[in-house]
Amino acid sequence: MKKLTAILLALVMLASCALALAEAPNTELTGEITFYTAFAGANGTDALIAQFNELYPNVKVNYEVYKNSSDGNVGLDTAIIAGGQVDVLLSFGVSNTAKRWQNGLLMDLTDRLAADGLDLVENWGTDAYQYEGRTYVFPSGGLSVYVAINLDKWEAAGLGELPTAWTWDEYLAACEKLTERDADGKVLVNGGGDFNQIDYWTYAVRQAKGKNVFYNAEGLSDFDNPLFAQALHHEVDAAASGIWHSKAVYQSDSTRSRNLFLQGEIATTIESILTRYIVPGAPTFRIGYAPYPTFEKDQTNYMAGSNPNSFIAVAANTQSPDAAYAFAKFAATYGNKYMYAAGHATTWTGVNPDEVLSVVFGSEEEAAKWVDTESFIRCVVAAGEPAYSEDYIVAYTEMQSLVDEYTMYVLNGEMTVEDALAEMKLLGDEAIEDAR
Amino acid sequence: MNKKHEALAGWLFLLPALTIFAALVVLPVIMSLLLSFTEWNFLSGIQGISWKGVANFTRLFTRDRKFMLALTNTVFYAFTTAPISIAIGLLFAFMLNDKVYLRKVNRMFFFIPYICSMVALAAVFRFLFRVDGPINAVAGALFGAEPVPWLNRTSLNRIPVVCVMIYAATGYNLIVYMAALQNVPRELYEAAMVDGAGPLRRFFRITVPLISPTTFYLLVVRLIAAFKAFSALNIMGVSKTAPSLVTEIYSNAFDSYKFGYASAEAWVLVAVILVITLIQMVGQKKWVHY
Repeated sequence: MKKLTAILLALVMLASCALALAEAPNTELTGEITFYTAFAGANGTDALIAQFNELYPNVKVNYEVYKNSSDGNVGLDTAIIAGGQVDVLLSFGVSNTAKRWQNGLLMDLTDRLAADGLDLVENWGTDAYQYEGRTYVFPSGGLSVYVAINLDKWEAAGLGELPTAWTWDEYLAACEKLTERDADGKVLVNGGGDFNQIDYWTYAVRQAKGKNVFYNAEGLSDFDNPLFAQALHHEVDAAASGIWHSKAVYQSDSTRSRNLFLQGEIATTIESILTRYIVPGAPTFRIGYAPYPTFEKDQTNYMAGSNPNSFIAVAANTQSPDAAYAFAKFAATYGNKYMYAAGHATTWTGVNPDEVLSVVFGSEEEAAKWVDTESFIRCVVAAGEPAYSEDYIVAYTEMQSLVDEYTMYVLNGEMTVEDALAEMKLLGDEAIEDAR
Repeated sequence: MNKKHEALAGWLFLLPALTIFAALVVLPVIMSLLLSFTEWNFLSGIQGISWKGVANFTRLFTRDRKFMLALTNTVFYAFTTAPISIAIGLLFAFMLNDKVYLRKVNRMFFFIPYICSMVALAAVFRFLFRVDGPINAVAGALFGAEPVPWLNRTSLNRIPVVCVMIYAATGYNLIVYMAALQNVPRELYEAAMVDGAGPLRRFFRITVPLISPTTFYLLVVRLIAAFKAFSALNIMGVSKTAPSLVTEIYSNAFDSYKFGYASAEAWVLVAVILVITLIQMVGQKKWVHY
């Protein structure tokens, strides 16, 4: 009886929470707001606004597309400070977003969230992204990092079922089998490759640490953590043996992993925003997915879930706070599935995977023509899986800059992994001390 | 109208231009000088400015490895790009100064890179210097050379930058030199020929001295332009590994929002350009003939 009561109570709580989120059509709320996003109308923004307007027909939503780059972010910040019409924004990266909340550019959402009965952990998996105990953002925009697999090549290599968990050794062994060479041993198709962005090798460290990749327990730089050396060695050794496409070449030639993968030039790739490019890229093979590899078997994989990467916030000086909040809340919950149309993901725990397939591919049947839907839902939608987070960002830009610079030295063979990490540790600590 | 009224009218006519100049040039210069002694993140507003004294400058020269790397690179860019582009400009101008087939068309072709956007030129050069790009392909086909990672290696990646800067600058130098060469009196060459001077002697004893004011002008202009190298590095993707002072200023200001520190770097750049220009002004007395 007690069990039944507890289950009933839990159901009532869940139902009330869902009701708070579901929002019945509201014609009383009026206003005109501007949403700053990095995604063009065709990449989900038009559909998001259209669905919002079904619930709030009297709120007009305009949108501006800004580029998530230094220029784009300075432009957005200037627009907010100058009192330009910025009501809701999709803010990328912890560092950029923290600058905004620390300097009073974002509206404090704490009381509104409480009034709506919205709990950050329950709805978005984490409450790490708060400032001085207050909430300024919905940590709803995610990035799933996974291994995309050319199923034709996978099956031809006789590798069997797609893995639901694997270690780096297992993944690299699969890459070895998938690598195609000519009679002279020249590599024709690489078995795999990392995502082309320089710092993606640090995602292996994120996978194992789960939090604050660049920092140790004392708040200093953590580049002397053996995980960094292990991860960078994977990158360098796999490229040197030809089983991975070289990241140095990605950089010098300005090529992207997704393009080489979709063209069949690499058999697998670590990716995060491939989804958006599948239909336009029209690959001649179906794509399967495996989770990001772990260092050890049965290790918690903090890269298995959707990692908070972008945040929906309301500008502090919005002239229509109610309408802006309503839109932000919708975009962070029911409307967040449209992030997939832009290749990103959602951290919202209420996401319906079938809806995601429809948003990206048109329908579940259509999706099955392009991808293995089961592994897509498991690894790309990745609902309920553990995710990496960050709540300590002292000298973050400097840390990032050191990673970008020294990784190139290592990839080009100008420094050894150990020398580079030793220097990064020294300079990282210096930058943190300065920032403190 | 008396002189006082005339002067007043003059100042009134100047007032709009002076206002714009003061607001858009003088004030920002003063502000940036003041900011160089502070720490400021523009999101925090004016009240967020905190005075640091000379700490920014001290740090630049004692602890900022990236700044020193950028300074070295910038000097390298300037002292390779300026003389080489001037020499090539002079060479082609001298060749085109004679009766040459399709002279005007050639002149136009040489000038086109100068009016092209540096962004477009850098993108083309980035393609040329790719590992699987045309330069490596030609070197491989002719000499059997292994592909060179031009844009990756820190020992090599300044070469493509210098190449694109030279390519962009040569056309302008050529046009200016062609105008200068037109002004060298023909009689001097004729007299020298009568005296038995050969082509090389005529070039170094007559042409070079008489166009030395132009060379001086180009040297000043080209060095200043090279010290401001930015677009080429950004587009070619080498701004992290082969930064210039301007890419460092940009990165500190707009990536890290360290406007005080970036202002200090900007003033060091001003000082470097000023010193080099002053040295040239003093040195020109020895080799420029007016």
